[in-house]
Amino acid sequence: MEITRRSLLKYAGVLGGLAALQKSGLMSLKHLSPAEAEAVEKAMGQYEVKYSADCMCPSECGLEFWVKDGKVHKIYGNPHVPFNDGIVCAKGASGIQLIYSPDRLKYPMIRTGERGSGKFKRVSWNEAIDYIGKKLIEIKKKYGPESVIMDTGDVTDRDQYWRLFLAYGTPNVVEHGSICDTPRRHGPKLIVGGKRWEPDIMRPVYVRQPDGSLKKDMSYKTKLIIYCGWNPFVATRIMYENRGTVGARVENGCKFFVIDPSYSNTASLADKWVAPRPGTDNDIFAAMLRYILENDNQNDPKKKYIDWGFKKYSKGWDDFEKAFKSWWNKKDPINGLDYFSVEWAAERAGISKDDIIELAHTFGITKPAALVWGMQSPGHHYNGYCGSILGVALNVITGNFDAPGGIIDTEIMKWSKGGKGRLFSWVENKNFLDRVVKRTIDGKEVEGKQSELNKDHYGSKYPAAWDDVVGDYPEFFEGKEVQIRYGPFRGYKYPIKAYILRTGNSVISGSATWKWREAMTAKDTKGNYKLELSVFIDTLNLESALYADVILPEASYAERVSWSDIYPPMPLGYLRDAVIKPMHESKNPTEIMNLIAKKLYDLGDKDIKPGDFWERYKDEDTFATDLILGTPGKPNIGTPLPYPQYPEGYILRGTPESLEKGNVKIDHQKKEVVGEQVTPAWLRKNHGVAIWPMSWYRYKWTTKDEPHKIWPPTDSKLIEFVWDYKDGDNRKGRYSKYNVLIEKAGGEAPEGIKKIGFNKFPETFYWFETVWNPYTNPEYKKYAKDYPFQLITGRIHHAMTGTQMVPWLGEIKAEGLWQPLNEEFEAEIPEGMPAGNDPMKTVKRRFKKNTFSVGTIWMNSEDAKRLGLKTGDLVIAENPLGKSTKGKVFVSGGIRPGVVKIAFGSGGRFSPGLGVAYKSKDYTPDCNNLIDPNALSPIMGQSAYADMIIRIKKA
Amino acid sequence: MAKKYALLVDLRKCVGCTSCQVSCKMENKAPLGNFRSKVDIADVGDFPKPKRYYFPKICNQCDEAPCVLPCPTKATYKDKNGVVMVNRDLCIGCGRCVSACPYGARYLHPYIVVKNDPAKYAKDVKEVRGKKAEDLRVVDKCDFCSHRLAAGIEEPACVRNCMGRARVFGDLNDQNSEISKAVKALKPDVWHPEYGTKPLVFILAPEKEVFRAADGNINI
Repeated sequence: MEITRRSLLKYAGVLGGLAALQKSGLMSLKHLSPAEAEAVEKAMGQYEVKYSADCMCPSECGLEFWVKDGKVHKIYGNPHVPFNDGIVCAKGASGIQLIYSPDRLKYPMIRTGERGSGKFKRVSWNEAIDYIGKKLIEIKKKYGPESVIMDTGDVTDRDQYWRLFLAYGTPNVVEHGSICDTPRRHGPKLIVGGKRWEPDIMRPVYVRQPDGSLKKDMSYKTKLIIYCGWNPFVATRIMYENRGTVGARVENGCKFFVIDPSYSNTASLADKWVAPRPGTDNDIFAAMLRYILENDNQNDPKKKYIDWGFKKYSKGWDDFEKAFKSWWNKKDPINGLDYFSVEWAAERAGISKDDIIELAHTFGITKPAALVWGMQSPGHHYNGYCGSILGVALNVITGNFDAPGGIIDTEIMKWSKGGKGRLFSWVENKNFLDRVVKRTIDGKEVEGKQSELNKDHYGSKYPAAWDDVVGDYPEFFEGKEVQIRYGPFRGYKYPIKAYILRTGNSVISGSATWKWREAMTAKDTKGNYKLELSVFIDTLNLESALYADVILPEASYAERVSWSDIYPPMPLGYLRDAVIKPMHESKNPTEIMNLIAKKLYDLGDKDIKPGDFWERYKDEDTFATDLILGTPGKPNIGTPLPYPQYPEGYILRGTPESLEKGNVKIDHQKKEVVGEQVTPAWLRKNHGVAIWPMSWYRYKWTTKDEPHKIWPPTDSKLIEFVWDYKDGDNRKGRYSKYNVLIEKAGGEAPEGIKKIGFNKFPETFYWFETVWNPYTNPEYKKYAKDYPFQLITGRIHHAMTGTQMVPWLGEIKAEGLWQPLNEEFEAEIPEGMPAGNDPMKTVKRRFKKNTFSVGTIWMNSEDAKRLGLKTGDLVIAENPLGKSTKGKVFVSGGIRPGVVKIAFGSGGRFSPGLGVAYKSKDYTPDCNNLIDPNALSPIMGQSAYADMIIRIKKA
Repeated sequence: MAKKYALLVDLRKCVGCTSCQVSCKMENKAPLGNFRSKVDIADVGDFPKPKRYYFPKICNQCDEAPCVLPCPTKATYKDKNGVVMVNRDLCIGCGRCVSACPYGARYLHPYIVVKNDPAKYAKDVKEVRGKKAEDLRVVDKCDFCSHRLAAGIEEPACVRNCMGRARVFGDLNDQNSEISKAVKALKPDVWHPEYGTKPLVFILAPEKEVFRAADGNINI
């Protein structure tokens, strides 16, 4: 049945055109046969529409599920949710293959062989919970509850587990932020108390009109976006950046530039693609700032880059500028050029001076504009903090911060979520972390708060790691003790003896895979695992599950109630709903929390109170409501004022409906407007979503150009360019409290920043170099010749390491990272059924060679030619630490020479639970195996995923 | 008046996310390896000026559909709204329409068994001679999500979920419809116009090179 062009001609001859067709009677007006039509209409009428939120990636878009007879048949975007405005990506649409995957975890299991062997036996929930409870009690008695780490991994609806383990008594509860991109978020947190800076291109937004009505605004105002180290068209983290970027271009003539060593999908549509050496985004931003400061001319409309109005709403700019300029006359030890000059950046980044000038000038002169920096870069660089700080500075001084069409900090106007539900004991009437606890240090009993035992916040290495540190867990699993050096428990030490992991895959991507595999299996001299308890809770059967003692199957994202975690420009919230019942023997997080809590209580744990768990939380909705008490909890500020009928600056609480209608109580003492509490029930009646009005210029009054000092959430309520300053007798600024801790510890500098020569946290602008970069850090120059490739990573159409078992996502290609280069294999896979009650059936399929996508190593065509390589050749990539990984190369002109890129989680997948991806494990690359587990960034301890050099040879 | 359904894909807005391809799988459950909707992606050129093209494809619902005439059982037909349909009650899985389509838009569906007795046609259709219905498979292709159209939802799944909002679907017989206005204003291309098939799927291609670089058939 070969399809050829000749076949067409053969029939076309007979066809004789339209006339012949019509004469044949085949152009009949017949529709479906009556039986078919009836069947179709009947089927369509039987669907129930339920709104929920995705989990196929952290974008967590609003979804519309079509459910029939308790099964999910269709997935679309929820058109009422402005975040994704009804659309859904390939991952979201493929969710049915995850929900009905034959590889998902179905029942509790207890390990019977060695960790990593994959030998488990099926057990009942009772047996599994009993095992966990008894171990936790034992560990608490022997080592203290702080020796237990609750890592809620990559999926954000994790509050039940935080609550449980905070109540148990450990301060070491962490979430995905720790291994996400902490350097990227750093500047925003320091300067405005925020996190993610995104362009103002989420449409629709709802805007208050002069006549009091709310208008659905779909218009784009942005004129320029620069995406640096950020690929929204593939790594769809902020979903509106896809349609928003192309929409702004087509409808508003917006230009966009991409800075990325690889030719990403985003680069492929950009007006300009700049491909610098990896690890030089900081350099480019610094050069842009220097250029703007040196060339700004307030009297020349072609050079009026800076909008000095920002100074009124900020603090410390002069200090920041002075510190920045202090580098200008210093010479870089590698290239001998002046720091931050255009020549210097061009040499370091390996791009032209003209490119840098074009970036700087265009960004300076185009209004409104947004400079956006990414997760991979600078987020995954050892020194990413510098770039993150510079990026914020560039956006602020050009007048784009919180301007219409400019750039928005999408953290600091989020609806409030978490709060008491996550952190507060109703019975003890305080936050769990505020409990007073006692420990014995050198024979003396010391009192302090539970929070002050936190491994990082008061530990010897990273006290400023407000997102905690996961990358260093291996050394603790191998027996190193946590050293508390700051706060009241100074001198206290404790081991880490239990690791509870939920919806994360730290064994693969916590830092270097090989390191975690070693650490989870490290034994003492008696032959017992040093880490005495390892638990894995998830829907997916990932590599980390292989290293667990107990596995608990959690309900999938379609089977539980929680909140989506998203980054919109104004308060917006939507429900994740249980659209079907938990499948197999899985349970939802509320139930798991209650089961473990009750077991601990029954075993005598006095820290667990029934009124904090099963007595209060009899269903998921109650827990979900506790998480959003008083939401949105954001002030009535900005132009146009969201609620002109309420006082400007008052905190808004309650459903959009009640606030709009005036069903509120105004408290003038607390300065609050309180409407009806938002609940899951209200959301279910309102298409699953709550939307509040958008406004801009939220740092100033609507009535005058003066700061109201209500927002942004810094100590001074101004944009802060200084981070440790005196305000009367008080020390203020985001770094000040850590410097106070250091001072109280006699000036003992944390190990992290000591590595870069700092004795305390800087007061303003600072600069340091990254690691494993021979072109910018003299320490690594010696490796350049033998390890000629810089390795970078990133995402494809998968959620990091979690979704590669989904076959539909193996039928697509992604850049040079996910290509149909498989060897022939056979696998049992969920296959879509076009008819019948089951949307999926597990079938055995044979996959022919080169028909299915696998992870690949993306290499430049000139480099490949020089090495005698072509697409499909198997190679070994090796780093200076002697660690390696294998993979097939994909060769193209779409990546900078001297750079190689491998996507997270795309290869080397050694858990059978990965289904199709497991089949290719021997010839696909694991980029995490190549990173340096000791390269943890100095302030936040984040693994430097984007800092490594390798050599390549044919396998 | 009957409708004339058509689709426009605006490559200025296509970000190559492949949601259309996977959303179609979700909606219509084409088996692995076969497609009603497929995105071809081509990487060409050398550094520093490479290019990547995205060409999302579906059945063109041709006005002069070459797949219609070869069908020996009249299972394939163009319905009153212009959609090229397959009546699964009549199809005997001979595959002639699959060969006839120059775009590769059709395939035999491994999970849908033929109902019509092929013995009736064995004399003239050698492809089914000596075969029983249970051995033969019905042909499948994009039908603009006709089950949704029949329920009054004038929006195929691929249009519904498109991440770049690059797809416009509607009735060309309605001068005021979004698609009519878009086709008139943007003057889009079609895929291989020289075949004379008169496609009703339009591609707005700022760079015509996409038609050459990403020309693969939907089903191989």
